[in-house]
Amino acid sequence: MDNLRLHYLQQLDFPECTKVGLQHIEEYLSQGSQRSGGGGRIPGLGGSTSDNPAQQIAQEFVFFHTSRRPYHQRLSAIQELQVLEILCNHFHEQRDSKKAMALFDVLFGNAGQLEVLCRLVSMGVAVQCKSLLYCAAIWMELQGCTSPNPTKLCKMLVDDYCLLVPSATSVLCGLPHISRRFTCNFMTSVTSLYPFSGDQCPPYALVEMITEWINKDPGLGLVSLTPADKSVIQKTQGRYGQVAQPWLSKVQTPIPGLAHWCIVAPLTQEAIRAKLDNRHGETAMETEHTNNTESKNLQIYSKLNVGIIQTMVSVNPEQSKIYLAMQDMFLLVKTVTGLIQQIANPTENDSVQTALDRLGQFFQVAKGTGGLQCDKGDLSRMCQSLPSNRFLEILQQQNEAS
Amino acid sequence: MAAASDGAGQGMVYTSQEIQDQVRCFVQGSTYKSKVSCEELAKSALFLLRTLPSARHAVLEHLCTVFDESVNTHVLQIELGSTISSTAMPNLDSVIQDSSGFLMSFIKINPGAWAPIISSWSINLLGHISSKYAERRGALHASGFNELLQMWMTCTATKTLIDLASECFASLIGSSPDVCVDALLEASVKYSPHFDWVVAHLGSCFPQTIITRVLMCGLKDFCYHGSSQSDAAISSVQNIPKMASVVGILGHLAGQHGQDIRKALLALFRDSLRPDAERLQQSTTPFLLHLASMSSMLLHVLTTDFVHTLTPDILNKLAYQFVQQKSPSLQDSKSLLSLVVHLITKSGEGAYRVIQFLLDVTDLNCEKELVPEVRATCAIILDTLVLDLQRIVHRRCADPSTELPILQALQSNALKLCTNLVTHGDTRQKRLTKLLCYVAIYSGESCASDILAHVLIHSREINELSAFVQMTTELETRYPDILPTTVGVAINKLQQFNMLDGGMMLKGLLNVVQWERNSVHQDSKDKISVSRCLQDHIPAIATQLSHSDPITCLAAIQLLAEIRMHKMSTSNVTRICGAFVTFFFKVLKSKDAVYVASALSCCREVVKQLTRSPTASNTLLRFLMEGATAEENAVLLGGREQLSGLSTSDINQLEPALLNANREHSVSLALPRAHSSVFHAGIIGQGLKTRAVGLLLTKEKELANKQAFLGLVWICCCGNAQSQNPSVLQKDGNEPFAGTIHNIRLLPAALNYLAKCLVELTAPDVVYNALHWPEEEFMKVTIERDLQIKKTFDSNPVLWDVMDLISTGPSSLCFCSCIIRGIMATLIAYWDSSRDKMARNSPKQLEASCRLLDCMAKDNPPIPDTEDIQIARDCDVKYTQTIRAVLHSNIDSQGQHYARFFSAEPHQPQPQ
Repeated sequence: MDNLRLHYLQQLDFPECTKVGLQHIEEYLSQGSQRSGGGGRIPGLGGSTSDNPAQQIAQEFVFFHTSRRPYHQRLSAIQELQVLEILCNHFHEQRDSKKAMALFDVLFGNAGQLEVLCRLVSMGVAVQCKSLLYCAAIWMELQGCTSPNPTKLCKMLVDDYCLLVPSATSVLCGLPHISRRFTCNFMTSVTSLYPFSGDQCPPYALVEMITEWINKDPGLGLVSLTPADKSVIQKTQGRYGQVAQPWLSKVQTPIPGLAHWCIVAPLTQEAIRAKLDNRHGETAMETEHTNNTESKNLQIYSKLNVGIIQTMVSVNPEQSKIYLAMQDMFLLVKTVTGLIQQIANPTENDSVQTALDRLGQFFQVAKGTGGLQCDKGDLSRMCQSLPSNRFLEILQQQNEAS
Repeated sequence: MAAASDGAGQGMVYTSQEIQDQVRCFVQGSTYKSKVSCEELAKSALFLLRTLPSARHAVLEHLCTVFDESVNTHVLQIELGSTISSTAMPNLDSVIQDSSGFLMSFIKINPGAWAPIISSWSINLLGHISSKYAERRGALHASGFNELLQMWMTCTATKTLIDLASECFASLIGSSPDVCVDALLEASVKYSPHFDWVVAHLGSCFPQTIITRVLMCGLKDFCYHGSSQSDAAISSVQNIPKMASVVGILGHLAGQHGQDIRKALLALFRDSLRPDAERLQQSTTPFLLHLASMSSMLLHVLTTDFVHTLTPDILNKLAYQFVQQKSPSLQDSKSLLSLVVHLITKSGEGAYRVIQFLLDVTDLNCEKELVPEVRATCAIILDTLVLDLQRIVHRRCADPSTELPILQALQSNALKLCTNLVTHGDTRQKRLTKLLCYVAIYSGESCASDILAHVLIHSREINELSAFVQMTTELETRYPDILPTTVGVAINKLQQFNMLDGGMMLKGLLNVVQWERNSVHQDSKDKISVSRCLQDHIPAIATQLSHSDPITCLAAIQLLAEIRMHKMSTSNVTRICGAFVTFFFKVLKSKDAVYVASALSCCREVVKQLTRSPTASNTLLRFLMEGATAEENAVLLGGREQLSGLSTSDINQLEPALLNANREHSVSLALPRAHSSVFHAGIIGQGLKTRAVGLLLTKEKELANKQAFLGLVWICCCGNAQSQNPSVLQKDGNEPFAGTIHNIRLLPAALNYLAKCLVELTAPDVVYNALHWPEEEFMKVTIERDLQIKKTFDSNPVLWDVMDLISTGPSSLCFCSCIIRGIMATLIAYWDSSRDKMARNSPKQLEASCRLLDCMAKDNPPIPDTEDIQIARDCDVKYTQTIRAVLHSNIDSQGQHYARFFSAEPHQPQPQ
């Protein structure tokens, strides 16, 4: 029957065969779920990709990666756009999130078509395809938001909407309206994409956008704490095996990454300023320009800081989840220490004090809302390598008193 | 353009539905599923470009077809003239303009993100279009490169594209030029040669950056490929695709930006030698060499400009670099060396400098502080080069069409190389000799002989002589007649050259000739030797005897002494003898005893050589006699100045300057329109020339001079019947010899000639000189002439010695009977009128009388069986009456002499 199906598809012309192929895949998947419901299949032995007819159809009629049809060598960019459009439409029309996820998994589950996925998601953002982005969000979680593939996807989105086509940034701004979950995971990925080391600052437009999101919707950063519908990911369990339920072991939220941004930003700013000071012969205009961007940056990061604090506060203490490990905290402290060392006279430097204040705040709030589990001595150990800060000292005193 | 500014504007929010509609519209339009007008399609494409980032690939692809179509229309228009309806054109043009406006604005807003995308897109599209329409265009007229460029620049689409590309380049060049240059190179590899115009255009927009970057990209590529196939030969290096396009691009830019290329290459090289050079930069040198192997233009730069920069310091650094590079495999370095050698053989204009440089470096004597490895490597290179050249040159004999640029270039510098050979001695001689040989073989016989002649003329030391001999041996295998030609060239040069060089040149020749004489090969008669070749050029050498520089003259006489002379034409003999005699008297004037001694011994040798032919010996005798009696030379041989009362001054001023000046003209060839003789009566402002009188010579000097002179005369009279040549002696053995001096008999013919000469020079007028007794009447009018003869003898005492010599011949004295008669008459008249008691009181007259009698006594009695004597004896009876009476009265004691005076048969004819 599978062969018949393939043969039939082979008779069709290009756009048709893709459309029909997608229907076939869905059909097959629904049959497969019935079959597996019948207990005929052993989970984890779902058959290799080449045996799987759904995979076969996907490779041959969606991606056109096959050795069997030489005349369909590679799709032109326009044809690819056509395929993307078809996929988008398909996901758009697919209201059943289980089925959508199953299809998504067949298409992109093994990450072989990352490029197409990136373009598809980019297009999905533009045409506001909710189910597609939901699937992508789940995919990111399954892969781990900070792992290479999702990071690549996010980089592509940032490039597309923030760098290449600034006029389309507004489209990305509406991302939370399309899929909150995807937005949350996007933020997580993006923070790992720009670790703020050296001169690798995130684009201003991106920071601005994230700040706006967070401030408007404090719960946005915590979406990933709510586990996805288990039935949705059930199908994919076979593929991902043990790693299939990441939120059981470790939940990834954008909060640590964003906090990292806010804490490190003033220090990096300081370093950049020092570098500029060393460079003489600057025109007044340039100086003014750098001053402008600096104040703009300072403003946006303090706004973002507020947003994060709000987000953390908004966590319902009863269903609170640990989203921050002490290990992350120490890593953050290490980065901060490294940056502070480059700055002369840190105790009297405003930027350093700001950074340390934010660090203390972050620690305190995370601990207070139950996002961070720590021992009594952790704080003092944390503060050992840092320069003196009044806020941190107060915290330490409190800590010892309690 | 209006659309472009819209696109750049912020805050235009489109609903997802709008976007979806546009996508559908665009897809359907561009895949021709449904009819969408061109403008509509363009609008949606640009809309998508602004709103849907992921669609940009598709949009750009669509634009490709738009541009392609536009170009197609353009080409069609050219092909068919402007007959085609241009209705479709404005649409396309406006679409192109709109989209280019968009893309331009993108590049301006965010160059870092857009420029790489658009530059690679535009470059690829340009490549695609230019190669696609190349065939069509080929049917057209645009054949030349410039025409091609012009054609594409008039096409809206391509012009827009190239503008876009250059905009991208301009914005990227500051930050990351590698990106765009890489794309350019790749396209160049892919679409060459149709893509060349793009490269040329972009290159001329950013010459410096493009050149530098192209070189860097090439270097990177070279390193990458080089490391991956390190053990492969040179041929594989040429397979690296980017190298070819690097060379191609540089070739395009060479015309207008040659200087930039030069600078870029030098900078690249210099950077590679900095102490902090990276691994990549360290392979610059091999990279440059490989580049040069692919382009003659780059090779030219390398050979002309780079050689200057190779100071010892840099060479040492280079050596260090090569050592440091992680163990370049033996084969690798070998192939590199052979590449270097190959390049040198290909080098043209700079070849001489390169060779010079290599020689300098390998020269152990040079004071530069060089690492021994450098020296050794250069030596290997040179040796390999020499070997290679040998192979090629000899193979070329079979196929003369083979070009060998290095030899071509060296040909014009051959003489400089020769000088090098001469000035630097043996350190570089071996290689230079070989090299010169190959240059000579390559460039034909005339050049070969030039080179050889140069070496020959300049060879002073034994080393250079050996170089000459080596070269001759080598060249004779190719040009058997090289030696005569060479000698001819050398002699020609001798005559052209300035006065100063002559001596040196002659010395060179002399060295060779002396070596030939001493060497073993002298015996082999088949071999052409220099001295044998010189035999044809004796007159030319002889003219050098009149040179004003004594060293030149000495060299010339030495050379002449070494050459065996054979038969020559009379005019040549005259010239040689004239020059020789002039020289001889000049030598006598010289005060440098050593010089005089060596010159005189040579003179004797030369005379020996000359007198092989009787003509020559006669001419020589005549010239010698003339010289001896000439006024300016008389003093040298003991003569007394006839005119008195003049101031004494330097002996050199004694000689007439005008004659000297004219003689010097004969040293060099007379050129057309040049003076061949000088006439002047003095220097303006100094008045008339003062007549100078030579200072008196010492008796010893006079005697020595006389001896020298007589020695020469004597040799002349010996003729070719000399003791060294027994065969000749044997042949002439039956000829009757007159007197003998030191057991060597003199030729009577020569003595006769000498006697006639003497008469001619001393007798002032036509004098009766027959053997028969003159008429009585005639005798009476000779008193004045007799006095004249006597006076000549007085002022040239050497004539007495000559007469002595003549008197040794059997009957030669007869030929100067008029002189004897004249002197005798004068003396008798003197003694008749003398009232002195003692003859000793008039010593001059006494000495003269004694000498005259001595002479006459030697010849008396004459040997009876010669015809002349026979005739002499038949003189008038009335003159012999007295003798007869005396003999009769003393017949008892003097009877044995009777037969000498009176023969029994007075009129018996002499049998022949």
